[in-house]
Amino acid sequence: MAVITGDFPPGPYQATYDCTLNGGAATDIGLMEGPIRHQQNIIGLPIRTSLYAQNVIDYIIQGGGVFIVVTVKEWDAGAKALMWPFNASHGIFPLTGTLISSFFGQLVLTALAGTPAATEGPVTRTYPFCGILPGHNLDITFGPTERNVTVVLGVLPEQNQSTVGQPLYFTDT
Amino acid sequence: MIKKLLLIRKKMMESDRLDKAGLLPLVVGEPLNVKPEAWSDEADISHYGFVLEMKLKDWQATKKWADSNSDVTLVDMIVNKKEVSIEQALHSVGLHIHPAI
Repeated sequence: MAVITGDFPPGPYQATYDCTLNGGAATDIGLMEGPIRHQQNIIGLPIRTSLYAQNVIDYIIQGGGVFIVVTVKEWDAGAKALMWPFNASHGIFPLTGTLISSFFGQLVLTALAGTPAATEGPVTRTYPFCGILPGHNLDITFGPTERNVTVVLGVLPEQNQSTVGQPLYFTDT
Repeated sequence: MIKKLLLIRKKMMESDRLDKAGLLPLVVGEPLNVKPEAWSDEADISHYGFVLEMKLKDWQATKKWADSNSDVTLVDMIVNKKEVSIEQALHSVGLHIHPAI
């Protein structure tokens, strides 16, 4: 008898973040609750014609978006920089008119060595520029309970060096 | 000259993988033993790395091959028209040369 097998990739990932606030050094964001969730979508302009009425016959690609949802459990410099890369004091907001990219940093997810995730991949997933998504409310509890903070990160693309005009949101190894 | 760092996940590496893909003539220097920066020095390698130098015609074929293989990654070694070191290229994807091999 043989067990049923497949290329299943489970395994924990750890994450480091290196924004300007933590001096550009890759800082571990600590223990997390549940898995890290990666989300991405494509944005397209639908093409419709009088002949086919409301049937969408194609889409013109207009871009896309990449987002990460992570719940941090610790309250240390690494976790706090992920929540608020603008200032060590969360009460201080960035100057109006500044570009958010100047605060964002590189997020690296690394599969735990020896797990199926490390074998099947990705071993690492690197987002070159990401940070808290504008409009996302940080929900932080103060009380006799765990302080689990869910952070939604938006990813900014970098220029794909091989093809001008093509955005690169992350790289897998 | 176009310069890239080719990374192949250890699980998917075969001794003649580069030869079959026609990439062997493009390899410069020795193969690299690579692992994630986050792993301890007692962990095994995760990837083999190869520095490739090529002309445009070879690059187009290499890119096509890499795009059709999900277990390989091509990392830029010329960024904004400036050459970066192997260490910088590896760091940009969370990896480094295994210090214990």
